Amino acid sequence: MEKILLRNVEKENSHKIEVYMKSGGYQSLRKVLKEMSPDDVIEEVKISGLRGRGGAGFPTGMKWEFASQDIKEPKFFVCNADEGEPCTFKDRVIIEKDPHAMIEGMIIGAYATGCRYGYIYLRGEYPIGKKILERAIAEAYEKGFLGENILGTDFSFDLHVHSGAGAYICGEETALIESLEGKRGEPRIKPPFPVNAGYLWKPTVVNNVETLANIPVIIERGGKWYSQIGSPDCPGPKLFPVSGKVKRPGVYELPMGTPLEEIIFEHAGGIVNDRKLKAVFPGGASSSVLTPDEISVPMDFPSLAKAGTMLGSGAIMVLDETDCIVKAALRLIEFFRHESCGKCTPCREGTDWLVRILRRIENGSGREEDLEIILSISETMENSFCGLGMAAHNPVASTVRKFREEYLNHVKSGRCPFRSV
Amino acid sequence: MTLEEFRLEVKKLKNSGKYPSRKSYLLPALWIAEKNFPQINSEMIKIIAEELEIPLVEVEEVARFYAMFHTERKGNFVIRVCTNLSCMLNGGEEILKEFCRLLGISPGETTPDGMFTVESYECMGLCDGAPAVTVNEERFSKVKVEDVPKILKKFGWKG
Amino acid sequence: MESFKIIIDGKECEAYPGETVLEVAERNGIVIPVFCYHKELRPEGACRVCLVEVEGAPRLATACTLRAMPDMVVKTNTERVKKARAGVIELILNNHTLECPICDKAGECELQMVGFRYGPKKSRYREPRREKDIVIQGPLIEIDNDRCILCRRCIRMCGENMGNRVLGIFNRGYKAYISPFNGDFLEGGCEHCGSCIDVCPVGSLLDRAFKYKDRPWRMEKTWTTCTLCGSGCKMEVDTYHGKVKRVVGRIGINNGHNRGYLCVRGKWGWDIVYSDKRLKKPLLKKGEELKEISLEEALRILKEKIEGKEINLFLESSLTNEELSKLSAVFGNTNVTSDALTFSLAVEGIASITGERRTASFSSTEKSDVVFVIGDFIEEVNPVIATLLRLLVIQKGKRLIRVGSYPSKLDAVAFSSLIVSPEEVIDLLKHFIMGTIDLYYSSGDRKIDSAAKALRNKKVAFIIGGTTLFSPDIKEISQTVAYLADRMGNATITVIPPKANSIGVTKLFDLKPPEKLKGSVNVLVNTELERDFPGIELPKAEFTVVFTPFYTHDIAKADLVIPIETGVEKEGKVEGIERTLDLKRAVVPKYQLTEIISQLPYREGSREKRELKIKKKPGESILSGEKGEIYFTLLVNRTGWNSVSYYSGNVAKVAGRRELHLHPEDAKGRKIVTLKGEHGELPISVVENDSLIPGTAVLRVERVTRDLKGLVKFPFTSNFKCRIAEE
Repeated sequence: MEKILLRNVEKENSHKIEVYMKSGGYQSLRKVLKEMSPDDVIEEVKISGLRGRGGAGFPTGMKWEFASQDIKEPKFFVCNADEGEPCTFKDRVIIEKDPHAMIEGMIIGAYATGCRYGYIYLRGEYPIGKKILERAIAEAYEKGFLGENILGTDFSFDLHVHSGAGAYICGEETALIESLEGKRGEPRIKPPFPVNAGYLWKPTVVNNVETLANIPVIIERGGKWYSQIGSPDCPGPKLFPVSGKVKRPGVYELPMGTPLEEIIFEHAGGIVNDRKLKAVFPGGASSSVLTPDEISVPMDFPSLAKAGTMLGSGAIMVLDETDCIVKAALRLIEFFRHESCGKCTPCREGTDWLVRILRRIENGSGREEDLEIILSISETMENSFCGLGMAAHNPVASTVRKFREEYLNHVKSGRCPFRSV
Repeated sequence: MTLEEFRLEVKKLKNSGKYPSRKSYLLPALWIAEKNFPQINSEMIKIIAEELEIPLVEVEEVARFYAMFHTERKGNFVIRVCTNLSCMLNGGEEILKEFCRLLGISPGETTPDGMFTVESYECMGLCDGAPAVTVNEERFSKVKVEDVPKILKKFGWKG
Repeated sequence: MESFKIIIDGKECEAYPGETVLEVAERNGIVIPVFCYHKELRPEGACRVCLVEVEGAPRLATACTLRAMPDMVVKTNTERVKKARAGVIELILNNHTLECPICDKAGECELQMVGFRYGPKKSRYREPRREKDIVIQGPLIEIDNDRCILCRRCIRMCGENMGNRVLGIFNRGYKAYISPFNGDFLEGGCEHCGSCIDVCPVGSLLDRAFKYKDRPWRMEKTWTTCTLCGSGCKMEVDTYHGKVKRVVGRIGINNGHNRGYLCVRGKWGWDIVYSDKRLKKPLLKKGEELKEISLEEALRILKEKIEGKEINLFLESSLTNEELSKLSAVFGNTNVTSDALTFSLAVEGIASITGERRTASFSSTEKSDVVFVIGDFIEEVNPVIATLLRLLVIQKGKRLIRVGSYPSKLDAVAFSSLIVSPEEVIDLLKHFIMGTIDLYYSSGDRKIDSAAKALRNKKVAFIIGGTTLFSPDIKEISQTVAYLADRMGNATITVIPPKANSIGVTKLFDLKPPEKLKGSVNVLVNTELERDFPGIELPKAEFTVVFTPFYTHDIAKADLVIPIETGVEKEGKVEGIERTLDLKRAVVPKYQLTEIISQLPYREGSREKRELKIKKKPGESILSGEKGEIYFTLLVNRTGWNSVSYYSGNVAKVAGRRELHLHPEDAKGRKIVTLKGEHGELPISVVENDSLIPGTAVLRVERVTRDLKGLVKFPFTSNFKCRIAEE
């Protein structure tokens, strides 16, 4: 299939503006500013059917429309580059290899929504990305794509990189805004939503890196063309970062709806040492696990939701038959415990309790009734304040449900069967 | 960097016009402290609070919220070993153990000579190169246990 | 506003736009358990205990953040809700220390109550209890983080409602804990209002003066009024066997105008009752010494000495109406002075326009759109009034405009703060007057014009208070404000009384400056000359009687000293900022002023009717400075007001310092300067403060002492002129 999002990454110096422009970069921006009204842009994005690639899958065109309708000024356009979901590294590839695609997407989005200032909230763990982005922004300023009166129009837009400092929760859009405001990255009560009251309580559009990288292509080739790629109800190309026990870990660009099985066995080369597949987390650390007989599922938002899990960031984590599922669940819940901001009770206390129980089971002092407790904690955590807590229990609860035997095995034998004594 | 120089940097930062709200300069200001001092202490917090006109406690709150800010003393080189799922599956924990064994410290600690801090870190987005290690801003991918001494030597380890 | 109906647990409830489901439920007597929610605080939605089921919504919602919508159907008691609620409470209880037997909060702990009623019946937690072991001890407040449930009421109270932001939350997730900056309350700027303790649902924030002292369920509770300043706060005094154990404000429950907010004096100043400086027996001067005598003897001597004599009465203005009327009856009312003199000048200034010696009650602000404050340092003189003004802005959305000569904490929430030199205050007010006459008038200053515009066609509540009441210009300022209010129509004026019964004293007596007293016997009641009448010498007299609860400096000048009671030992009424306020006796004193006075003969009183000249014109400033002169305000710290820190061991722990604040332009890098006043000078250390305007200085003190005599003279202690010695 034709590469759309990764069309530039193989090129030498793909992060430089000259290289990007040589392959038609910033033509979409020109087109937008010269030929299209903001409403036209929003309409085109709506036609494309593009849904946010950050995890929630909210229709991008709709989000832009809400923001453009708000009358408060100034408006802010924020790129969520706080890619903190474990085993997700798709945005990193765009940031480092094709930063101008997302910058162009951002400028177009700012034009469509009437935003005057923009920030790229980049996770602190990407210092190299920060340098690349800062240089790319400087290049864009030099060429007149950023700043006052862009390309001679009366549209002005300033863009800066804001570096996070190691907090997964800042990927949640309201926490990200709090962090941008110089506070602890804790989520806010919704409503109001950021499109109406975000950064400094002004209308703020928050879009993921990958979402924005789609924009120039949609403008260039039309929303209609775009909407025909992949699954009909959530079209477009999607980046799938595959990691874990596969032969060729990496980021794969495939149409939405590509079956999981195909991604693992064809694109990522199958399981290392040709072992047997044991389990897959199909959408990042907070997705529910899938067993080998469930992997024919198409990778898109509705299909995965139907399968009882979620697409999330699209990060595929593959475990083989030699991996302990308890240990895997434990690592993930330890991660969430570490990243819980501590604001709400279920997430703060629930993650800690789950860690403690899972550690006990992994160390051989688990009990059978622990499994029921795990499931009931998981139910309580559903009532968390934000998405982190609502989803954090998924890897644990789903493994307890689907790999109950393995948990019981730990309990009964009093040790982890996968660990050499 | 001296504290006076730090104050000047913060002043410069707040006059850069990057943000419409003074408080937004807090994270960038803390980054200056993080990069130039072995730890963010109450002196720097006071300077930031004064310059940005933020209550002291709000600065400390933020400094202690984010995992990358060190309010405890850190080494010249911060070694972050990823132990999240993909790296763990590919042996990240052994790499961490090896770093700790060679340096004679536990995760989270700093060598007595102030050279190295080893941290068991969560995902850094380098999962295609699992297990991954970063030392300050440098990345190391697909690290094997036998690579660990080489990495350390690169940063002046004498052991 | 149009109301609409929602259904909660089958009951049809009336709701107003903007209300949350929890508020509607509360009003309709439906109980939903909460931890992080507090009536006075912005909702947080963090504890997740107030979960309710909403018809048509897939998830449970938190009632505290859920806005009521027309035709909403809410259920608070389904099995699903009960289970979810118990699940959350279980999580909170898992690692909670079981210290109830030694916890001060036990008996009034919200976790105990909610846990008992809605929590799980059995614990399933088999892990070792997680201990943070972080206890932060300040001078008066202690935080025990193992008891903390991280509801963050304290942080919101401290940061948003009080505007201090001393408390914060460190670390994240399960390791999070509450602390002030650097673990130090004083360094973090804590004002020790105690509100954080009041709203803490558990025993995490503790009153150190009360720690391990008594149990909530067995103490006797007396609701009385704090007399330590003119805010007139209602407070609960808890006693056991006739001894005060603590004072609590009960924010959210208290129905006084202060709504439970207290300041350091009200919360911790109660121990003046047990001060070691309390007088135990009447004293009589014999030769150079004071000898203890019986009350009977003291009364006998007093009767003898005052018979047929004109008496100079020095009143401190926190005495009750009952005390005042008895004093007037016994000692006459012709030669009376009081520290309420400047307050009476303010009232006089207003009366000269309105024809009435009356000011509006504080609740007039509730009905206004704009609150126009003329005053400096209200947060020090009347801390709780300053808090209430702040809350009018952040809770009720009123606009606050402040005019003054010094920076104020209120400026942080003010729509506009106009800070000008003391001599320009009246001119500034006149711009507003012009603005009401001429719609197109421009003062030439955009800030003033925009503030003036904000007043147009609005209901305005004028508030005069703080140290401005002690400015030589006070009468002129009040007159100008009254003139402005009169022109605007639709406006009220409130003068914040500096002391508990400033209003009562002003009503009852025609106050004179001390120089004009003509009596031959001095009677000082509850006063301390240096504090209440700085720079004044006691008039020469045949005999001087001092009624006081404490050993004051004035005792040395007295011939007879009679002990009296303090505020919480009193029964009576005071004329407060919010009408008449009740004092209920929490502790029975040994000596009661009213009882003592009743035993003295009443004299024929004749009160001349005070004339009132009405002149409908604004005032004129009487201040005029020369080059090199600076305006100087003597500011008694909030801890020192009414000498509280001097008699209260608790408050002394957090007492402020004596320091002179100067603008860097005036300080010129000097660490110590000598202030030269009309009658003397004072060397003092300097704090550079660039939020002051050049040409003004603030001397913060804990207590007015003799060495300040040359700088200020009663009744004015603010905006005095002085020079800084050049050397």
